[in-house]
Amino acid sequence: MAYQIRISPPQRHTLFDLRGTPQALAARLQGIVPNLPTQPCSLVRHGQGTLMWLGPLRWCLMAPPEAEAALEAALMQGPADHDAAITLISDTQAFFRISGRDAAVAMSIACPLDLHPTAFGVDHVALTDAFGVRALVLREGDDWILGLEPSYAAYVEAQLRQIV
Amino acid sequence: MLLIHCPFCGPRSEIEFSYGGPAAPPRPDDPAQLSDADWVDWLTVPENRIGPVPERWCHSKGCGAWLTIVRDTRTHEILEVRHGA
Ligand SMILES: [Zn+2]
Repeated sequence: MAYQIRISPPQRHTLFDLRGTPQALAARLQGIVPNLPTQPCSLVRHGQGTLMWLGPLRWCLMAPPEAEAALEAALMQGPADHDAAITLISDTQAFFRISGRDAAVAMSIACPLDLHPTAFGVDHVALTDAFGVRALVLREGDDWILGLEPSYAAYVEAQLRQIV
Repeated sequence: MLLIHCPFCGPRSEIEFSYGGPAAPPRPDDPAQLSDADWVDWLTVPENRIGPVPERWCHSKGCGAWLTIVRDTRTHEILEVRHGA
């Protein structure tokens, strides 16, 4: 039986790593994202941006590639702030979109997360492991976004294509 | 396989974690007052108890937090998980 799974080529997104206190980061994000996510491993969307809460003092802002220059100008203005460290990390992650009827099968083989909708619903996000590599997993509607360090992209893509 | 309940991420597989060794008892207030043997014992000899032991684990592939876990070495049951030391 063949699975119905589609795997996009690896893509680059605009990506900012945000570390610090919620109060300091909320101040820096004013006008870009109105609120921080309130639940761990969840996200908020605003305009072109998706803000994900990935760790106790760690967030990630994702946006389309064309938004990078404007976001960088907006986020990086002002002096460096110990309580709100923002770093442009677009080049450190490659993203696959995994879609199709059996996309969840591929994801459940790739990573150890409980991906049942009751445990990992739409817009749930997590840092985890995929085929031994640190990865970001995001459920977007019926699709899955899998982000990882670009040097592992060919290896992870080969592992995914074995499932298909 | 352990299932570790990260206070931030929820229940996650042991695959996502790195073992950080036994959680040491508090540092003696004045090491100079200890005998050499007691100091070396505290510094380098971990307890190897049968039963509940406190251990350090890092959620290295998840949220990145360092946790202290109390694990029963007889059953692998995890009795307590908390952030930090
Ligand atoms: Zn965690």
